[in-house]
Amino acid sequence: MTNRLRIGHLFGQPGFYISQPGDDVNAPTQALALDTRYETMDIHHYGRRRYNRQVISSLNTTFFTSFGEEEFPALGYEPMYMFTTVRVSDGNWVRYPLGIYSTGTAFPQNFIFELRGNRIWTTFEILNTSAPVYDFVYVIFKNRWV
Amino acid sequence: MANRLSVTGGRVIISKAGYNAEASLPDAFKVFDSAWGISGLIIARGVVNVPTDVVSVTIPFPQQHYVPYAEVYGFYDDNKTYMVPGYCTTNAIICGWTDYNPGNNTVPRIIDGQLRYIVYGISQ
Repeated sequence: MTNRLRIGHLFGQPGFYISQPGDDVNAPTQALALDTRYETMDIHHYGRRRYNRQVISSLNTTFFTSFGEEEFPALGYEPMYMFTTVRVSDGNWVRYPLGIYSTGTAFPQNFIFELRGNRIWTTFEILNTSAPVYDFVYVIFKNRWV
Repeated sequence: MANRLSVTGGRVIISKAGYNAEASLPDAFKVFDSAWGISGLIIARGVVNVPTDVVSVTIPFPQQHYVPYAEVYGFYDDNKTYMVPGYCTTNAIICGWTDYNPGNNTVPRIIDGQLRYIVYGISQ
């Protein structure tokens, strides 16, 4: 049976270590499930929103642009965050990475995310007006950037 | 008062306040369960200031025994964010790009010279 829990020295430092299922904590090959040398991410607030899409005609192209604003309980400092989009049709695909510019593709791009105080603002574009609907998904953590 | 720590049968469960730690507890009420593959470990995070108009930056972090997952964000115009592509080794992020820049799709560069990064404790 695989040893998965170790309280004591590992990697030259004392701590509380738990390996992933099937991975030997004394000689792990995967990331650890718990490693007290490091902090863990703590979720403060998260949400999923479907913003209206506006059709923009510019020069030789027509594209969708979506934008919106969200509010979350203030933390008093700039927290870490994660954001992405989820393709509503086709089984809720998550598109990653964001922001790779590619004319004519049906994926969100030119993504701008702004966090200030207890509010976030987001805009993104889809350079194909036959593209499916995408939801905006965000997670605000309790952890600080610095 | 709830019993928030359970160590039984090789499984460790830590529950949220007000819930007893036990195998039947739904995941939403747990802080940690050793049956989970990952638990949100952060190997490194922070801000690096780099010269403007560069296209590649190396961000070191503590040596790991695996290649972790990382994200790098660039900042411009007072807190607007964009994601910077790149790749990760066991001890550094090497990030940069070749064809993307918000507002200017032809000149790749770091807009205001600041990047923020996260290295997650997640094996690739």
